[in-house]
Amino acid sequence: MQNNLRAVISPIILICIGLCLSCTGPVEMPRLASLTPLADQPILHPDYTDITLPPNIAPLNFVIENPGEAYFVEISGELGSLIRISSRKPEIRIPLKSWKTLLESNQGKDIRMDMCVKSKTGEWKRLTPVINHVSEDSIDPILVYRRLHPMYYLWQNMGLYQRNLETFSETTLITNNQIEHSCFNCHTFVQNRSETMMMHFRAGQVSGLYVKDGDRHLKINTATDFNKPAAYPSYHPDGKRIAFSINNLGMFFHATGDTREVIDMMSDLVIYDVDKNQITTDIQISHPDYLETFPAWSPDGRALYFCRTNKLTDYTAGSDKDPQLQYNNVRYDLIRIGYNPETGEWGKLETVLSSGECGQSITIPRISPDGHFALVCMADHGNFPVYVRTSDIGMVDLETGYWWKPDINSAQSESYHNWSSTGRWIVFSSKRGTGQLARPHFAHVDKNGQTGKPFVMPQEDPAFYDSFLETYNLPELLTGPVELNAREMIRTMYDNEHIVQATLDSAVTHRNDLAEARTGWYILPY
Amino acid sequence: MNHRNRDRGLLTTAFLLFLFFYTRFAIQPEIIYQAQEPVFFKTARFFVDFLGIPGGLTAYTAACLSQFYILPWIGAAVITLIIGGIVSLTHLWLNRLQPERTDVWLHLIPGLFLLMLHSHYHHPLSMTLGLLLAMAGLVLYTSIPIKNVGLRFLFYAILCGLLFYLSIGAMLIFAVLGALFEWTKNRSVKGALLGLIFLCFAGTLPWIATMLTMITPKQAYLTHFWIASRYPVGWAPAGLYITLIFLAFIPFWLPLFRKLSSIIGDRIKRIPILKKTGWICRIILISLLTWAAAHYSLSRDSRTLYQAVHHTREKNWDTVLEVISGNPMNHILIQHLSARALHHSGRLLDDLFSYPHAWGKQGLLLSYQFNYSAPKHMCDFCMDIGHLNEAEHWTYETLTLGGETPWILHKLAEINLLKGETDMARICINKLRQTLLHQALADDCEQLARNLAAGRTGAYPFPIRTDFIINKHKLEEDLQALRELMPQNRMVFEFNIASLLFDKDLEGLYNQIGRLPEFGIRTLPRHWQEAMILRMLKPDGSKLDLAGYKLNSSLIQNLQNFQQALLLKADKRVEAYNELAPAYGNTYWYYLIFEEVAGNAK
Repeated sequence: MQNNLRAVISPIILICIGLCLSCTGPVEMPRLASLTPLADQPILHPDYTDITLPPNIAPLNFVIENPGEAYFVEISGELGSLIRISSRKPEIRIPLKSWKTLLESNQGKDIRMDMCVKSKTGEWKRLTPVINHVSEDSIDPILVYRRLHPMYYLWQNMGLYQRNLETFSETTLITNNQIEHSCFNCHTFVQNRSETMMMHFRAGQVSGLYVKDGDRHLKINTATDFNKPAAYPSYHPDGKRIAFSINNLGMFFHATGDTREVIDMMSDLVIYDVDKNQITTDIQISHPDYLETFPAWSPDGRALYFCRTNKLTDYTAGSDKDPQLQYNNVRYDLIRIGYNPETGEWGKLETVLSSGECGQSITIPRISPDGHFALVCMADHGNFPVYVRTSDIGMVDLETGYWWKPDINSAQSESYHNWSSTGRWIVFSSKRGTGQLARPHFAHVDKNGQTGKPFVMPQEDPAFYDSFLETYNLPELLTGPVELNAREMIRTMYDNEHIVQATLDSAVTHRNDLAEARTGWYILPY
Repeated sequence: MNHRNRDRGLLTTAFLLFLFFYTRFAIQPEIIYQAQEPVFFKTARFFVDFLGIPGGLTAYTAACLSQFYILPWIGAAVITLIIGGIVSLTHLWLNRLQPERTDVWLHLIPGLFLLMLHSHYHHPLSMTLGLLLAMAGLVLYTSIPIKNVGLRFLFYAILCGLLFYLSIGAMLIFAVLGALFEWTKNRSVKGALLGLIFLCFAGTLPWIATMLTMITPKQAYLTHFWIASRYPVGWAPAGLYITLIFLAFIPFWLPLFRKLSSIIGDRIKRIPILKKTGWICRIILISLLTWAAAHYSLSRDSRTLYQAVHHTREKNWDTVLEVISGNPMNHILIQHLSARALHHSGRLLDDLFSYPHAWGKQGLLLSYQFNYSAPKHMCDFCMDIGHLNEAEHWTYETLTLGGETPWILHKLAEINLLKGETDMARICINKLRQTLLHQALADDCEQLARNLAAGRTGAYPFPIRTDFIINKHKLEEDLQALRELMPQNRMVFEFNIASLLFDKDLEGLYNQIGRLPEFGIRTLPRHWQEAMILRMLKPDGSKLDLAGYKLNSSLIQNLQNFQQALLLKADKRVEAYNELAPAYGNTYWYYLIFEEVAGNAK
């Protein structure tokens, strides 16, 4: 009986082993030299073709979408080094170590990707090779971003994460799980350095401004008689003061097309001096007749750039009782004002680029480290580019005032962006494809402000983005990892007894309505 | 097998069989699924996310097993098996505590409490799984033949650490019962001190974890152990844990208990019929007790609510109305769902006031406040009525609150396909493909994509071509705008008319009669007729042109009867409200007269 059983089971086991081996065994590699490249273009997903990439970026894993039974990829550099990958699946995962060697040894040169696809008849077909360029300019190795589901009114789970761009490692800095699901917004650093950090929390017990300055943790209430709590920040290069906008934002919804939109009903700029714990402002940056927002310091700290538009009542039509806001006519100009960090005195305002001139609403200026260019968002209207499909990344030459839209934009919204510490790379959020989920994209920028083709942040699983429903928010490039003691941070956030109450500079004599700003329902277009 | 084992086996089997059928038919696992909508994906990434946090593995397993609630028989089996495991482990533990003989039913007590807890539709399976793990640890710990105190402590500490990682706060159950075991085993001051030391160690473990990992003290102590939820049987978790502690002292009180039960037993044995069928009576008694506990703890209102939601999603409109008729509770959602079901059954304007309507227009269209606490219903309604952008808005609010549930992924995919955002829809479909049991929803979306590509929109209303700004505070204004933009949309039309009925806008109702033929409606709906009869009582009423529609003479007679009945109760409003309800409660006139009284009832 036992022998009979063995006689039946043994062949079954052997067949199973054979089947397993045939399914998982290595794919034979074609001889590239014997195959003539076809005119067929490889369809790579994500699109990592014809790009300039940093020499320190993680492997650009991809999926070959050309149909086939098996796949072969050979990556070679002009200056040597070779990677060969064969796979039965279209997902191509490049080994990290070999990739590093390849990029390091081919800085400033091209790398070539030869791809072959095996047809059903067992014949290998060679696709047109892909050539990418390896830049000599490294990208800052850390990207900090907020990750959350596309947000409307409600929020629940969100987290601040840092990703090592040289590997696939992502670590959690903080999630709002630990702070009773409070919402946290802008995070900012001093010139791509991770030592000093600021975050803005809202709602609940932890609401306030959190500042980490080295080992020092502070919770600050920036609300004064002049203003309600601060919103969009920009750290001065000296790390001792922060320019903030004070906004009164409202969301409304469309019946068709893009669903949501945000409008700023009132805004002003203030400066918070961390050492003096003082809020100050000037009539030129907080004028009652204008809405000033999105501050950005120049790298030398001697100018403050920001965006400005007329007060909203200038955009209303209809009767006095029922003023209808022409929200789609609201456009912002790019403004600059001189600043003396030693004395705190302000210079004269000047319009760098007016919306009338370019026909666009200019928002979120970010100044290149050499002070030569401003990267901005340009949309047909509004102040919230991440919700506006027409929003593109624009480049402004700050010396000549010449502006253009680099060839990095898509039909969907391109929004939050920033420079690397060297100024040779930019990161920006793009909703290309889905229209609803922002992904961080990188592009090389040369000294003339010319950009390379952008590429999405690589993931270990090349199909990662195809089923990932969260959006990446406010990507910031850093030269080193953030050393954040989450426990200390949470303790500080909950410690309302030691909250630092900002004072108002006695020199500020003018007033606006922002200290008691209401929801502004009367001006919203519904 | 001796008598005791046989009795215990029969009793346990009877209990578990009752539990299984009660869960299947009374609680209904598919309704638990509806209430909880657990999120689970069969991908490595989803699993890895749970690995890094204490209690993650229990949460992961619970999320996985909760998926089976959608299959009622398997769902009931899952709950029964887990509770069965706890009951068996309790029996083993009691045997370790009192090796000689324990009573045949004591081990069922935790099962009884768990049955009560699972009668609450939001009770998380992770808590039950946590208890299962704690009891398994306890049985393991009480079984080791190690006598050396140091080694025992080491074993206890390792188990505490392991259980904390596996099931976080539920470790405390093991910690307390394990420490008590040290005391009850030695029955000395030394034993008590030893237990106390053990307990102190276990008590500090979650605190240490808060230093080392990113969890808060509340999470460290309470996750999978206690939930701050509005339990109808809020005391049941406490009752369960106190009972377990009480059972841990069994060596102290069992002798007394035995003495008592032998006295009662002797008396029972004197009754001839009970002498031979004593164990059957015991089974019946335990079953009755179980049924009583289950019956008491089952929230019928919750069941009605989730059943109505469940059948609405399944588009079983007649069943929705049947469920609501069985328990016509005054809940805003119940009113809303009944209105939708009535519309789809072609009876909205005939029977609107036959179903709960105390919430008035808010119940019809859902209120702003309600939507932000439970946005998924607004999302479903907007989708139903063809208001795609608002459906998208509320779908995202639901996604934020409830996570990536299969239903919300399906809705998002549908909306995006209809809006032409195929890349976004593809992401949702891919995500649906990663679920355990919802491949059919993904197939459904694929089919819709094929249909749309072929130009077939099917049951989906035409999209709105002209934009307007949504007034989130006044939904009826949006409804009016929709009426202008989607004149062929019957649901918009009917909800508008229902809204006018609630507004008591007789003039508005009269003005809309001319539109009835557009929808092929040949008879003026009953409530509309009731409103028009009232309109005719106004000074210019006789000149009304009802566009060829006729008023039912029996309705006119009915109104006269109602008026006479009202006159008799002229000064007793509340009394009239109650007395006239059986005969006239389903008429528009009754609503008009008693709206305020009915409103107070909500």
